[in-house]
Amino acid sequence: MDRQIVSFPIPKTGKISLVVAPRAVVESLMTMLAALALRGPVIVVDGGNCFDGYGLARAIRRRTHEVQATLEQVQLSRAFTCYQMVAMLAELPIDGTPVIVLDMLATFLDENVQFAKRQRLLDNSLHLLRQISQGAPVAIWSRSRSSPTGEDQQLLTPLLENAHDIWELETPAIPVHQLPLF
Amino acid sequence: MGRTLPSATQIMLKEEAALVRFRRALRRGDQLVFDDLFTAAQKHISATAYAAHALPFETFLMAMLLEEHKEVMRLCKILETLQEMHA
Repeated sequence: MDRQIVSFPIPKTGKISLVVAPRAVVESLMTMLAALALRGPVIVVDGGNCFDGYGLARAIRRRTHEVQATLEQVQLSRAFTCYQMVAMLAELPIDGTPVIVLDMLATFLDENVQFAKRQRLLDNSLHLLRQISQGAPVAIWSRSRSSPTGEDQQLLTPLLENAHDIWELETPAIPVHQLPLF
Repeated sequence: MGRTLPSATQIMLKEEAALVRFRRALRRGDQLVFDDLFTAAQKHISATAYAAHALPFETFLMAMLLEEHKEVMRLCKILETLQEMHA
């Protein structure tokens, strides 16, 4: 991932912003979340148990000294199964509150649930997010795995199809250095 | 379901790791002092965990300051005793 990227632009209403990146992007996402929390309430749905509370507090502290009050603007829900993810998204209020979904596909990679069922649940989730995005900014982060399987790609495709703004970031390849001859 | 937040010890190790380049740039003597400061903060790790502050590094700094002030108070007491002996 490019280290130059420190924060993403704030997502816009009517659009679904998608970030496909490795876990290192969490810090940048927390910076974006801090910017949103300074404006008002924000809803975070965490699918991969990767919400960095301390990182968010640090990002807020860089902008304001009212850390506690700003942190209280963030409503966090953690989904541990794909069923929970759909249920949480279905319960979200459609009142213009920005929604950020972290590591969305993590719960949908559960092999204990039939793949067809997972695909259907993902479609339902995306349908709900599309509805929410009509009146509120929506941002999704999908973690890119180091060794992606076929299922990963099949689940990522509907996300890419539904997103309006897409950022695909990669870990920079380690440069191969020629050893000195002398 | 696992931990949702890192423990106080994990945070301290992370903060120490974040300052590793600063430590490396210090003179050897200062590096030892730097390590002492983190050892001082380590003494109050349970209080740091209990505080559950949103910015834990501020609590670490307070713990370091606490140990420094304890040392200052101890030295003041020794100085007073010495002054009384010479008076």
